[in-house]
Amino acid sequence: MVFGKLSIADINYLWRGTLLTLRLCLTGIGLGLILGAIFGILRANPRKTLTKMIAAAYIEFFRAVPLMLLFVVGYFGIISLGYNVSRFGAVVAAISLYTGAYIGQVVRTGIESVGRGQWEASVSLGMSYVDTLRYVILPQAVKIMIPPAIGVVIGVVKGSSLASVVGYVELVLAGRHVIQRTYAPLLVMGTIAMIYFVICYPLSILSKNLERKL
Amino acid sequence: MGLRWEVPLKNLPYLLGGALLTLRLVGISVVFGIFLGIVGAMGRTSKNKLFHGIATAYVELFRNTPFLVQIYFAYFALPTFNIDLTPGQSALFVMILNTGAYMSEIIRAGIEAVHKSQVESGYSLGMSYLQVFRYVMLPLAMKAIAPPLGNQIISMTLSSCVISQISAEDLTFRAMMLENRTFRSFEIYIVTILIYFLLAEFLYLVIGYINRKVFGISAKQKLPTMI
Amino acid sequence: MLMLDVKDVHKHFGQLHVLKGISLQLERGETGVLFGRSGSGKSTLLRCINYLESIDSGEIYVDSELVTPDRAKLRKLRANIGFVFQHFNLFPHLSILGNVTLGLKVVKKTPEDEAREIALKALEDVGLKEKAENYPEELSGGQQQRVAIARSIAMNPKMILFDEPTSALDPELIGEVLEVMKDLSQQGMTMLVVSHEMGFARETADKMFFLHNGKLVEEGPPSEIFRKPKTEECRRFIEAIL
Ligand SMILES: Nc1ncnc2c1ncn2[C@@H]1O[C@H](COP(=O)(O)OP(=O)(O)OP(=O)(O)O)[C@@H](O)[C@H]1O
Ligand SMILES: [Mg+2]
Repeated sequence: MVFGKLSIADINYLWRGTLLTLRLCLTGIGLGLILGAIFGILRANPRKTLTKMIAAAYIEFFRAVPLMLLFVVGYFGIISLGYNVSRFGAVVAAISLYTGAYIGQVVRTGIESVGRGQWEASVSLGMSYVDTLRYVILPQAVKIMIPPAIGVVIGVVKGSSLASVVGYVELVLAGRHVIQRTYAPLLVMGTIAMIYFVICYPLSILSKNLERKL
Repeated sequence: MGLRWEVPLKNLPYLLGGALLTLRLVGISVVFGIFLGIVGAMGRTSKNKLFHGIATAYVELFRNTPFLVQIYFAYFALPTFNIDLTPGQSALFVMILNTGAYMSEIIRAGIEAVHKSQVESGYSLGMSYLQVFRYVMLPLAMKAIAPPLGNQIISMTLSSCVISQISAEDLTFRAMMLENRTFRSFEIYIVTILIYFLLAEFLYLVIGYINRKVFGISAKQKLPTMI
Repeated sequence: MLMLDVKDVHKHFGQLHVLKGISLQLERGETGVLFGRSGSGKSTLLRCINYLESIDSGEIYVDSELVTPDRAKLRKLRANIGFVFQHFNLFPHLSILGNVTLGLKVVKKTPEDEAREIALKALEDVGLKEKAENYPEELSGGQQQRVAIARSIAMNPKMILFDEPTSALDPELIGEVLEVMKDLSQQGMTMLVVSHEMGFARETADKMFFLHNGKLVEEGPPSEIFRKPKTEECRRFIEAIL
């Protein structure tokens, strides 16, 4: 028997894992959006300010390191130093910082893709940098940002699976527990892959369609 | 509790050796992934329904599920079919398939970046098919393909650390070995992260240089891609 | 009373010396037309007056106020100088009314109702009151440029700068924009216009300025410029575009 069987309890367990994956993703995306908006806007500043450089360093760094190792350092690393951290806290912190960097890049690209003429027209009216961003640039940039931001969301959903590495029982780790009980790896991993697919595929279609409409 | 940076630093050669293993795996999967990507792109643009369907299913499945799940699938589930691979083989197998799926989309977009009118203007200059291909289609497609392809290589370099979870040997696996011996998780993984960071920045430089010199693209920004 | 006083302005872009000591004056209520070959520095000069570009040396006064990089002063100054762009640069996400009221609300902190009233009056002046609720993309190029002019007028500026306001327009739409500008000029607005519309210059300009390779080589009333240009370059340029 290649497939094996799942009991109701196993299915419930996987369902709980799915919910925990969603909770982790939504928290990470929520905090990541806030971080990304702040650092992306600072990064897009045409003048070379200190905040711009900090934002640039933050965005460039987190976009050039593996998410899995951020989880590992954030949890095992901190614990090895003798501090107490909750798994959820460590995992959320890592995924938020990571998401924030990617969203930050999306925000920056979006702001910079609004033509120079819009800046000049606003500034010529006597508007300040902040007012120009708020009333002229961001309303136009948000439309441009949405498709790539959805791409980031897909990446976060997939990346959240790596939290299993530090023992956070989201969908993948829940699956591994079920495999240990049932010896049905094909069925369980197949189911898990399908759950991710059902979340991610519609999002990627949406992103593609919105991008085409731009 | 004091930090003991000498633990990872003394073992730096061991870790850097792991970085080479990572680069080698990424290199192999990119080469084979490109071949797979060409086939995938042909399928995605094919009028043959079956070929198109298979290619689409392949590309979308790999792009919309986590790399870790793909790795586990190969490692835990393939033995059910009496396919027994070593961890290293499983890892490479999935890395190639994963890269191939992303490459399919990148190459397809490259093909679609060549517009009919550009091809026609080539013919109207009296070029032969080979000349049109060589001087019009290929350069235009390559220009569209090169930047995302470079980003993909970097994404795979960073994501490949996941294969350590099935005990395939790479940089992260070696870091785990070191951790098992010394219990200095924090210092070891910080240094490991920095090695990945330098690896990625190095690749950005090389790829940026190639894009500029060979394809004349001034790719100012790194596009976010997450596998 | 001098409204605009440009004194020996130099501007480089890297190695390129774009403005080579420009001096130029406009009295209050005068209309000046600035013309010259492509690349001669016309746009750059206009942009320097509004400090969209910095200057390397020299001074610019608008109504006796020095144009400086000081941000607070600059914002006040810019609120007092209208700028009409070649490509209109309307805000695509705002209605026509939104475009005209934005500066009033954000910069001048004018209350909503009052801003609306002022904007509708400005739109009436350019003949587009009935388009207030439309969006820029629903308007023709000529109409969009008239909205851009209304956006400037609504701020009640001391002077308006125009950078080739009709050169992006289809020929049949140029007239309506020039008509609006002529009205403005007759109502006493101080204007500096980069344009090669010689008919407009002849009828409307008090002074004309010919810029050549970053230097102001000729200036005078249209009658003089058209009848007996002093320099060979100016004569040839006018011949070429008439
Ligand atoms: N931001 C810039 N950076 C570098 N060079 C510039 C810049 N803006 C303008 N220039 C150069 O300065 C010179 C003058 O440009 P400017 O736009 O003022 O000319 P213009 O007289 O307005 O020409 P046109 O009739 O084509 O609009 C040109 O050689 C142009 O290439
Ligand atoms: Mg110009």
